[in-house]
Amino acid sequence: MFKPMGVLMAVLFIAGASFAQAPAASIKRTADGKPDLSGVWQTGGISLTGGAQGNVVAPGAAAAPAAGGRGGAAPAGGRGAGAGGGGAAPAGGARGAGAGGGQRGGGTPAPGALSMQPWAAEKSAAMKNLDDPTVHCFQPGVPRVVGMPMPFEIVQTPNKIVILHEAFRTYRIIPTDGKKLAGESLPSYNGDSVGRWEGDTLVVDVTNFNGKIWGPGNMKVTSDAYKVVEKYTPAGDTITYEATIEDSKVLTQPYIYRATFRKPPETRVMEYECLENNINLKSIVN
Amino acid sequence: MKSRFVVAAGIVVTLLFAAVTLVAHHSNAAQFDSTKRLTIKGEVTKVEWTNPHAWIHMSVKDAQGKAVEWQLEGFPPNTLLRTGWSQKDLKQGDVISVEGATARDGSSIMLAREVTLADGRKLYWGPAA
Repeated sequence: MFKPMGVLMAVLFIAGASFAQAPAASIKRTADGKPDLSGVWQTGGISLTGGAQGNVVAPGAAAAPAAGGRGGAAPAGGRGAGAGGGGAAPAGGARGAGAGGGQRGGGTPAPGALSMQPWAAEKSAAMKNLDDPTVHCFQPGVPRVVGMPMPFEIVQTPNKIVILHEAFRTYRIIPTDGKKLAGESLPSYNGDSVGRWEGDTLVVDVTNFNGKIWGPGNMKVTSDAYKVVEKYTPAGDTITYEATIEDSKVLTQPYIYRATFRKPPETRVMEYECLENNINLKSIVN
Repeated sequence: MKSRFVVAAGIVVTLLFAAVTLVAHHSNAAQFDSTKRLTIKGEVTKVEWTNPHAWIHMSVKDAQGKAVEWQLEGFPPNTLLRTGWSQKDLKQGDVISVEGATARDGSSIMLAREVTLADGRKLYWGPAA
């Protein structure tokens, strides 16, 4: 039990400071000079206390509502202290941006904001909880899997990167030599990835999706024309992630999703077999 | 004092990322009313450390003294391990109290938040809302 509150506050301050993004610094590199993206990462990491990044809330105090966070104070003497912040967000700020197609009042949507064709906006708005593929334990797809609140591990070799997500058993194999993996593949939840280095940024073209996934935020419709260009840029001890989504059958402009990968405390990717006990389906109210 | 400070800092930093509010997998707001909170006390009948969500089953006496079976939904089990739980913390027969959000349909299902264990420790079983 922490005795003086001052000590606890100091600790929380230190914790908060360590969370802040480091300024541009020298980055870790592999033997061949490429940025080393390997390790266990996580986006988001929303706090138990509901505080957003930099908004550290002491246990026992009421948490201010914060974007990406939920209210609620830590239990007294519990292990609830923690800072954090939503590390993932669709462009355009709020999640709800573009819920009705992103063109409220007929105005021009901001670049990168979600803007869907009328049929898709209508269909997306009518989607219910039970229509979410992940509620049935299907894979979220790219980039939605990145925003899931579970860690993932990047394994890097000189010509290939493998990403192992805890969430929904997702794994991705990304050649980084610009060449597609050999052989025919069927459309899928995570598509086919082809990566290449542009300076210190890994750029990955992802195509051949199956049209069964939801996009991030309120994009609850995708088609077989859905494709993503991902950019992974190391920044100090974080990775800046940007996914530009194009779908000529659904969107009216490219939709940009951004996230920051941070290193969680020592942990490993563990099994998450969502089908094990998915009894929620019986009680979910739409 | 100094060593205590270091230990405390370690704990806080460890929790920095471990904490996850959203249960990835479905909308809690649709099923539970986070404004209607309830605290119940009873005996643990079963614990399911399962995906996508862990569950505590609890026998709780109602006003008439009749035992009612409650089901308490929580975080995914991996999240529980990362936020300080051990499987050893809960076993059948333990008397615990649990605070959480009630189900909109009035059923004996709760989205559990704070659990007070038999030994007095308090831990989060699920998200704030």
